[in-house]
Amino acid sequence: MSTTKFLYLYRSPANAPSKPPSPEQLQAMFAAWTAWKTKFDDEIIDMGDALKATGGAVYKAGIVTDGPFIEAKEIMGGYSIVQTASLARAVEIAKACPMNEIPGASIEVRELAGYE
Amino acid sequence: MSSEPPAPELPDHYFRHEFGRLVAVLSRRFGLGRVEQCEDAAQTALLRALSSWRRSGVPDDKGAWLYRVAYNHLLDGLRRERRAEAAGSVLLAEPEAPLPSAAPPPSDDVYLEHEVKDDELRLLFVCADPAIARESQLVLALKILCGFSTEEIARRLFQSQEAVFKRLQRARATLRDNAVAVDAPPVAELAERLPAVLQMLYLLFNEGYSSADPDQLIRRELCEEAVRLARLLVEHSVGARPEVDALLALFYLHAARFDARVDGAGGLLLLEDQDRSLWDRELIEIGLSFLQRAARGEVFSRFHVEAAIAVEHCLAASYAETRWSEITRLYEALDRYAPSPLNTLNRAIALAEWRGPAVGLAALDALKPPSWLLGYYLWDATLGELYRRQGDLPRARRHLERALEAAPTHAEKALIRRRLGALGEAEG
Repeated sequence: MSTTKFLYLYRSPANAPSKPPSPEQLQAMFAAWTAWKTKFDDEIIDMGDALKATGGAVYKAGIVTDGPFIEAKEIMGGYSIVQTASLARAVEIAKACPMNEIPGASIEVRELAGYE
Repeated sequence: MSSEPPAPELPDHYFRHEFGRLVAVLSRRFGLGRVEQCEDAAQTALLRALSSWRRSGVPDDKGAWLYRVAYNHLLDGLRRERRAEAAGSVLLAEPEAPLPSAAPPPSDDVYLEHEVKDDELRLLFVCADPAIARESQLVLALKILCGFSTEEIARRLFQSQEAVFKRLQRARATLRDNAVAVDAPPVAELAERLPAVLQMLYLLFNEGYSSADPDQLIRRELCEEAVRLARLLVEHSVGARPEVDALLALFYLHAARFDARVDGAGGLLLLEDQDRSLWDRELIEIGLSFLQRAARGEVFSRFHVEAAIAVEHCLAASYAETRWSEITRLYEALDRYAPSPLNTLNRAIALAEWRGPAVGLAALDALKPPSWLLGYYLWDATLGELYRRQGDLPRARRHLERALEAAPTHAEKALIRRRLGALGEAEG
């Protein structure tokens, strides 16, 4: 069966009340992510990483900003890569992702073109 | 069911307990004046673990992993602080304390388990600082040693988040002010604080035990923390003492009856109505073995007496077969070790079972209750029950209605309402 790779981009609201999660909540989040990874183990081929808020944006080869990148209402906080049969399936997996438990957060699911 | 391999699991409350261990180890190395930065570093390490471990799995040396991350984070922060100070003014840049020597990369051998236990214990004694108000001691321990957030503490202690926050700030300020005096003293030097530590653990357990609905499960965690810390204490030479054994006996004997205290709908059940087959025999056995250990040596404490009372209940085959005469005697003994009108209240209940309600009421008559006791719902609930048994229904009703008003939780109110209902039937 042919499969396609999808990039999940995790976004969360920039102005969310910034009460840090407690250790107990962090452990619950860890358990939820681990369960998600285990459940879709064959399809999540890279859990990806978190994105730091630092970096740069390059326009016509000149660095014009060192971030934050969007004035924005949301922060792109991380990514994962999922390889599966269809966009519908990729969306289904994204729907089960613990990221959805964060109020206002979203997951952008993008198909990778797979150009050589 | 699928055949997926089980997800790597962390022990229950691992992050929360690890938070406490990290603060304990870091504040020994960096000083109690920096306890807030230590908390920050611990939090950062746990956050980092969340992203890293879900990607690469839980490392074998997870404790040391967290320690390395927290240590480096803290050190980076302090270096930045130093540079900022130096840039601000050369004159003001006098460092108040040297940074840990040239920051040896923390290796696993600074995270040896017995040292961590020492550090946790030290922090427990630090929390019991007599300069910190008793309620703040409890809040401080729950925050920095047990890893609860301000919000979680507030929910467990029925306090506002604001009150918890203020208590924490004051307690941390005291730690900062006293930092020079109490920085990383050997645990043995802190031994004189043992009574204060035991008092704190006793209070912690009671907070968890004294109330059921609506937050029964989360409050039970307070009892588990009290037991965990008391065990940490008793396994160390400084805490290997009969009164600590007795305190643990008391904890286990109470904990054994937890499940039987609530009915299927979450309502509170009186001792009389509890299904004794639900009492946890295993916990009772552990309690008895601690009490046996507590009996060695010369020390006899209030915790011995309280554990002995709990034993009487745990070993009685039924409510009716309870040795009420023995319990009456024990409450008299308790009053000599820890005088309180509550002992008289409890003795009156035992007396009423043993020799009838008139004798119980006479014991209460002889007491001059302080005003706080008059506002305490169990005072009225007890009087109401004893008058009911005497057949003085109007008085019984008056007291039960006052008890209903003063009862702190839904479960307790529901219990008193049931009694009032029964009274109504008796009145016809």
